[in-house]
This record gives sequence, C-alpha cells and structure tokens, in this order.
Amino acid sequence: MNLPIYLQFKQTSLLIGCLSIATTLSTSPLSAQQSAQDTIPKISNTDTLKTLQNSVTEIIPKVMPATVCIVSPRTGASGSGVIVDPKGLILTASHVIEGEEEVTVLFPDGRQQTAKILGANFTKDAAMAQLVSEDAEKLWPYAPLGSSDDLNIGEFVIALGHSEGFDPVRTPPVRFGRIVSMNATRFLSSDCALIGGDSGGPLFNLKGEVVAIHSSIGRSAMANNHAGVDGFKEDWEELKSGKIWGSLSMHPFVNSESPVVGFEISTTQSGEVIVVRVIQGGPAEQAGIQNGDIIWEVGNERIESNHTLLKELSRHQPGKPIEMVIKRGDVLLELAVNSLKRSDFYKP
Amino acid sequence: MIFLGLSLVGSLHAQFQPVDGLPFLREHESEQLDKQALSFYQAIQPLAESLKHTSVGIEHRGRRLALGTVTSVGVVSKWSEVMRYRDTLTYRLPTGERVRTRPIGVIEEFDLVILSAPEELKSLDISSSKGMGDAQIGEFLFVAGPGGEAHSLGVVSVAPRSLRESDKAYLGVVMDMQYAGEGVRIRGVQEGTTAAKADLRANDIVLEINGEPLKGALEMGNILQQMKAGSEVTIRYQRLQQEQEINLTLGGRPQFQDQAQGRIQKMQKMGATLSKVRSDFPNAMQSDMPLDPEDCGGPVYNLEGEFLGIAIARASRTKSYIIPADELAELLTPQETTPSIAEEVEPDAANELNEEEGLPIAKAEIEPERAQLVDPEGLVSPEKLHKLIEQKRKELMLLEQELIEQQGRLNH
Repeated sequence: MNLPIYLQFKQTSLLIGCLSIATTLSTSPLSAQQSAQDTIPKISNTDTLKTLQNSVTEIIPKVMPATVCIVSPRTGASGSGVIVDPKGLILTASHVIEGEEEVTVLFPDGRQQTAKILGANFTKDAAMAQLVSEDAEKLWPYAPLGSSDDLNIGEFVIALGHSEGFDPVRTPPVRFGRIVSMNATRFLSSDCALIGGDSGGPLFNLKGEVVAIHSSIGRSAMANNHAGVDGFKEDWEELKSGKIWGSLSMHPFVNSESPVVGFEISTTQSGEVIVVRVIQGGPAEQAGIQNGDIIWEVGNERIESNHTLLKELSRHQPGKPIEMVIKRGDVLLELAVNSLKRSDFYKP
Repeated sequence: MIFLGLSLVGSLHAQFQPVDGLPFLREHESEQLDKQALSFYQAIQPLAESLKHTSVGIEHRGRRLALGTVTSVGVVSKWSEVMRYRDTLTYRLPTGERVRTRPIGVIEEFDLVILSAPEELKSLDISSSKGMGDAQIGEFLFVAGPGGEAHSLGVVSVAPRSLRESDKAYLGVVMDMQYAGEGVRIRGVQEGTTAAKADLRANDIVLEINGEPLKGALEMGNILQQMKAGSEVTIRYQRLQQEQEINLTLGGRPQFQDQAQGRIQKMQKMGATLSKVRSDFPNAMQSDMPLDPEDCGGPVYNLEGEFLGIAIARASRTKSYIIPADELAELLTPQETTPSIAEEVEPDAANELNEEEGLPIAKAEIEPERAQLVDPEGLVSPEKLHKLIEQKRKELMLLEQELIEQQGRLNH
C-alpha cells in the first residue's frame, strides 16, 4: 500500500535534508496508524451487525459439506480438510497427513471415502490429497479458493473444522472472528478459536472462499494460526505431483522459505537498527545499502528494534521487492530491496 | 468470536502488551482491533439495555457467582456455581433493592437451579421479550447482563443436540478396522447387547443398514450413533455366503471413559477458564462465545431480541453451551419442576435483605445440612439416599477441583 506521504517523498527527490525531515519523521508512523484505522471495519449499529450475520448464515450451508474430517487408518488420529474442486482435490495441513499414503475422509453427514495423499510442504504446513471414487465422473461438494495475500487486518472470517475429532451427531462447529496478524511464510492469525482436530480445516472470507488452512494455536485465545492459501498456490503443481519437502520451523520468523536481503545488523546506543555488514552480491548490496545505514522503515512500518525488523522482513514474500526507508547520516533514502529465499541465499 | 482482550478495553491506551502466541501483531493494529471489538459490544448495547430486566447477578457476599434468568417460576441459574453458597445467595431487583433468595428446585441433568423470586420480578420474565427464537447456525447471539451490557458475543456453532452418549444408539459389535472388502466385518459381539440378542456373530459382514450400503467401519459407527437409543433398524448381512436381513431395536451407548486425551485437555483450557460442570447435558446448543463461568445462568438473545436459551457452561477454548429455549419451556412447566434435593421454600421466603452489601450472614440462619437428609416422614428412601450420596460426591468433587485449581494458581 502506498501512503500519500511516500508520494511526497518521491516528488521532492530521494534526498531530503535533515531539517525538513524532522516533521516528516514524526508523521510517518502516524500515517500508518491512520491507514490501519481506515481498513479495519467498525460496527456502527445492529443493522450493520445483521448484515454481517446474514452473510455468515448464507455462507455456512454452502461450504459446510466440503469441510471434511481426515482420519489416519493406522493410528485413528484425525484432523480436518476442505475440498476445493468438484473432482475431489483436498487441501489440508501437512502435519495431519504426515507418514500417510492413504487416509479415510469423513463427510459431515457421517459418510466415508478414501483419499490418496499427494504432496506436502512442511515449511508451510501445506498438503494436498485426492478423493478416490469408483465413479470417475463423481462430482464432490467443494468450496472455491480465495486469496490470503488480499486479506486485511480486521477482516471478518469464518472457521470450520472437526474440532476434537469427528462427532456424528454434530456438524463441524462454526467460529466467527477476524484476521489479527499477517505472519511469516504466508501464515496468518485470527481470533476464530481453534483446537486439536481443527488442523487442516478451512478459514473462509465473507465471500465463502477458502483463504487459509488451520495450522496451530498459541496460549492466548487470540492466537489461532492458519496457512494462507496463496502459499498453496505458489507450490500448487509440486503439491499436486506428489512432492514432499520442507520442515516446520519452531522459530516463528526464520525458516528455509523466509526472505533474506543479505545484511548483518546490530543496535546503536540509541536503540536504532544499524547495518554492520553488507554481504557481497546480495540483494541489499545491489539496492545500494551500505555499512552504517540505519534501517528506518520496512513496508511503511517504523523499525524500532531488531525484533521489529525481523518481524516486518519475514512477513514479506521472497522474490518480491521490499520497500525500505534507510537513514544515512541526516538523510532518509527510500529503497526497494529484493529478497531471496533463505535456502537459496545460504546454499550449502 | 471477537475477543476483547488484545489489551483490555478499559486500558485501550495502556502500554502495548505482547500477546502470547502472536509475535506478528502490530501495536497500532492491535489498538484498532480492540476498537473494532468494542464497536460490536456498543452496537448491541441498546438491545442489551432493553433486555436487562430479564437478567440478575447471583451473589454471595457481594461477589457474583453466576447470572440468573428471570422466568415466571423463579430465577433460573447454574446450580454448580451457586450450590456451595445456596443458603446465603442474594440478587438485586430492578429497583436496586437487594433480596435474599433460596433454591426452590434443581434440574440436575441440566445443572440448573430455580431460585425463589418475588412476584414483581417474575412478572418481568423472559416471555416479556420478543418471544422464543429458533436459532440458525451462524446466527449472532449474546448474554444479556443485569446492567444492560452484553456479556459475551458469539455465533451459533452447532444446532441443539444431546451431549449424552447414552442417547446414541448402540448395536454392540466390535468392527474389524483392517477389513478392506465390501461392507463391514464383525470381529466380535458384546454380551447382552442388541447384536448378541439378534445372534450376530464374529465374521458376519454387515452390508446395509436400513437399505443403505456401507463403505466402511467408521461410516457404520457414525450411522448408528446418529440414531437414537430405541430406534428400529433393518440390517442386511452376509454369513457363509448367505445374505440375511434382520430387524432390531437398538440399545443405548454405554458411557465410555472420557476420551479427551492429555493433549486435547490441555488445549481446551488454553485461553479459557472452564466451568466446573460442562458436559453430558441432554440438550444443548453450541456457541463460540467466550463465556466466563460467572456469566453462566444468564439469558441468551439473538439480534432480534428473541430469547434463545440460558448460557450453561464454558466447555473449552472453542465452545460454550446454551440450554435451548424450547427445552427450558418444557423443563419449567410447573409439574416438571419437582424439587429433587433442595428444600422447597415458599416464594415469599425471598425476604428482603436489610443488610449492607458484603455483611456476613449470621451462621444460625444457615439451614443445617442434616435437614436435607431427612424425608418428612423421617425416613430416607433408598433412591433418595442414593441421589443424596451422588449429590454429596459431586459437591466434594467440585470442592476438590476448586482446591486443585487454587493450588495450581499459587504454584504458577
């Protein structure tokens, strides 16, 4: 998102003198706040609530039949999944089907079917399976795919899944909530409360499109983590062809697919994040970053610590330019810095 | 849904606290999310205000134990939350006047208690709201509080159902999970069950239930559990290449051990304080509302202001239970409210309490525990004794649980 303040930057040239910056600096984080305020929808009265409610109640009967339970025939352990095309292609979480070649799929009405496991990318907790049927022409209930990159903070979402395992006298429980953060490697968090058994189940936007797949939870009731479907789309053909790769990192920011720009950082006495080494031939060097540069902003977010830098950088997709503001001496520079996948940058 | 808790509403502008498990949450977005959550509660506030007369706070010495729902037979609340202080319970009338109340009936299987109420309060009962609603999955709902506030917000997650295993049908066969052929192969038959009476045997292959062919063992289990105990079914099976058909009346499922494993039990408590009694209700609607245990007993409404039921339990991180309005209507018809354990107390006994809030109530006023053990004739019937023992056992269990929880808190 381009904020008006950056258009001004561009118009007045890239180099801005110290004095004129002073005011710009203090307003820039504020402008980011205002933008958040604009995009997070508020509820003004019961009529707005009823409109919202109606879109929820309309979507559920359409997408519920596609929300399946996935049972391991070996262990009896279960997770969830969602059918995303009429031919029976299922998206689920990689940790749900780990070590399986075939799984039993249970539909909300209690009926069962076999599915063959296709591929999995453990780094993104993404996996695919294909329903098997004697009838090749068989059409399955499915939910359309949406986009996770297009989600906004505060956007309303619906979570479905077979919580705590399949229950034949219960349809998959509906949970309503909002996107609360966009995380590394196309993971995202919502406040739709999840629990064991939900893993692999679908998160829907208010168009009834699958936007993410349930992956993990944190201690807080707000911390429900989902793998964005754009991560699946990126690996679609490999997943479909049966490739299995990656590993789920315990570190929230760093894994083999997180972006690397190629500099080393430290913190100054005043708490600013300073570049102490630029790696030769890396994207940072190519973008013109030098030793001693202060990292001022990444993607419109003010960088106040090593932690915020790591957090903001890892939210980006490798291969796509990251907008950064660098402070060099008294000058602010706006740069677009490319990034590489960690595994491509640090090749063994 | 919609938790107020990124940083509590009361401290919107307080220092940003990182949320456990949300390392990517941005400070300014967290504030906006709080405001968004608040906007939901504000939007509902006028409706909640118009329904506040149907809700009371059940207190013991000024501390709220639960909420209560005003009905034409008395105030209905959550038995296990108020049981311990049943002789010293109070609530405030809409006039602000504090009155003492006593249990006049208990519906144990729903963990409900009916508390005495003066006529002036009973006339303000839930039927004075916009009638009973028939809840749809995904519909928004909230608990109305006595102060005109909404206590928790959520959606209907699952339609009303029985949570009791014994209500599900049971055939009594052990199925062969490894069998991959057509139908479902029986590995064994449990003695004394429907299957044994019908002479089903190991190695029989069940092909159809009520004319529907079976794809596998999980499906067969699901189809049986979806039927009610006492249902009649036709089973088509194969024995030694011969196909046969029998008609059976299914029994009820035995209570299996709590199947929640350690990992799930841990997850259930993550980010939630659970009610002490939270399972086995014969009829409950499931919601994702983040109900606090002390908000149980309160009336639940939809956005039309229609009464949907009484909030009865926070059962896990993801679910709360509500006793549906139509079930309550049946439970609360006068002949159904035979008090089981609690002493019957005339409604007028809900004396006005002229004490200051928090003043200890004289010990002498507390009913001697023994009084409840004796029947009017001075004899205790075996059934009643059994029930009383069960009751005492339950109370003890709850006390123990509370003690463990308190100790757990201290240890942290």
